Amino acid sequence: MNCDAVQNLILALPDPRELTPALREHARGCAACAAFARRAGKLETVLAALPVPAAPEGKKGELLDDLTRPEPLIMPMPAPAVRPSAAERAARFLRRNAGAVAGLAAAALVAVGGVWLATRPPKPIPEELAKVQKHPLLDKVVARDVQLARAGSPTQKLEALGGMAEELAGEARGMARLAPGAEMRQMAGWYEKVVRDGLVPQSAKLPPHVPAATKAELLNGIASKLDADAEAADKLSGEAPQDAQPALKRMADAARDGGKKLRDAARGGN
Amino acid sequence: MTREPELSASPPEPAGEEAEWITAAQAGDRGAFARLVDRYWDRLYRWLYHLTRDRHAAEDLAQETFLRALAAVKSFRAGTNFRAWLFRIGHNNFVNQKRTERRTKHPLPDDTPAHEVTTAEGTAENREVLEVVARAVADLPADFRSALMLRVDEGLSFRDVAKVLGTTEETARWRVFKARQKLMKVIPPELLPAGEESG
Repeated sequence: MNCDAVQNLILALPDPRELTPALREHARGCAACAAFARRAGKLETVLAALPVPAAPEGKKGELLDDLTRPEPLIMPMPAPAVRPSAAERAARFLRRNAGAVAGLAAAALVAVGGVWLATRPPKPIPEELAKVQKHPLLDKVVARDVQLARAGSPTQKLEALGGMAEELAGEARGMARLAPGAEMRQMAGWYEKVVRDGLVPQSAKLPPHVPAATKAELLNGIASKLDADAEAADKLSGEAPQDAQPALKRMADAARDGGKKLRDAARGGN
Repeated sequence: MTREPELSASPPEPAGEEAEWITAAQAGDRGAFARLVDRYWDRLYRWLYHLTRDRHAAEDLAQETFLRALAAVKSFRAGTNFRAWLFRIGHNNFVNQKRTERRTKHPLPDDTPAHEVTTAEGTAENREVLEVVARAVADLPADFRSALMLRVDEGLSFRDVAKVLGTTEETARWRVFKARQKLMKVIPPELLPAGEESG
């Protein structure tokens, strides 16, 4: 073997620090190849010790926390005590409006564990407890529900419902890869409720005096967001765990169907 | 190039414990998957850093890799190499990211290790050698770099390197060889003194 061949063979080894007997034998009688083998071995050692900067944002910890959290991602909990008057207003609104809007809003609240309409405690929840049990999804849905309660016109109700659908879709996307299938099914159920029992019927209730252009702008705007939700849910359903995929597909179907109906309603506007 | 026996093939996988975690994760146990994350995160991040040279990108890719692995863990075939499977997902993510970058024309920033090193301690090598070698590795073509670091840093066999990179074993072997050859050419001999090292 000539030295070039030997040196190439050294570099082709799984580990150049561990020469085969034939190579070792050659190196024993060849100072150049022996030095080359030592340099190659040294390189291997240095490569294994190359510095790597620490990961910057602690995403490992976040992921481990999410994975090992004992509670479900959607935690049932009482309504926060921080805005009792808004909650009362929302409750009054829901009781007054026994139609589709009330149904879906109540469904959304019940679904997130906010069964305060039926089971709210006789006295306010202590501030400390309310703080500990605060949950971002609950906060968002309650805020949307309050917006719904305050809505003075069908247009505002539609906007509030559109916002609620958007919040639920965003939340579902955020949890799809980690949440158990049952929670995703629950989330899909709320989303369907908001779109099918809320947005779609409400779009037909826009009063005749609303100008056609205004109506079209509002309905098409919400329809576009539903289309985006459908597309995102479809895409995510290809990447999410198998358990979550049917729920994401249901959400995509509901969003697509809702978007189509809202566009139809926009076209049929006066 | 003659094929040599793999004298230092991949270190043995901790089969029993890890196999149990995988089985549990496939049954929906997120805690079991968390143990796999804990075991492989740092190694995956380290390799992805060598590929991207950007710690933010490497961390994002590591997170994305584990989320995709979680989504697909049921499709993992028991008895095969989980680490190679995981790194394969990581490599796919990296390739996809590069494609996206090419489309958007936003190259990854270089992110030199500077002072925040995690593995320099414990080696007898001086800082200058590490820096020169790190720069030389960074200048390697990405395909060579990824194969080399899988072999050297992760200790994967050429067969597993090939699995991760979606290529043949011979190509994996060739890339590692070429990477070493290029490094030997560009690193000054005085930085790699021929002390007593080889076996």
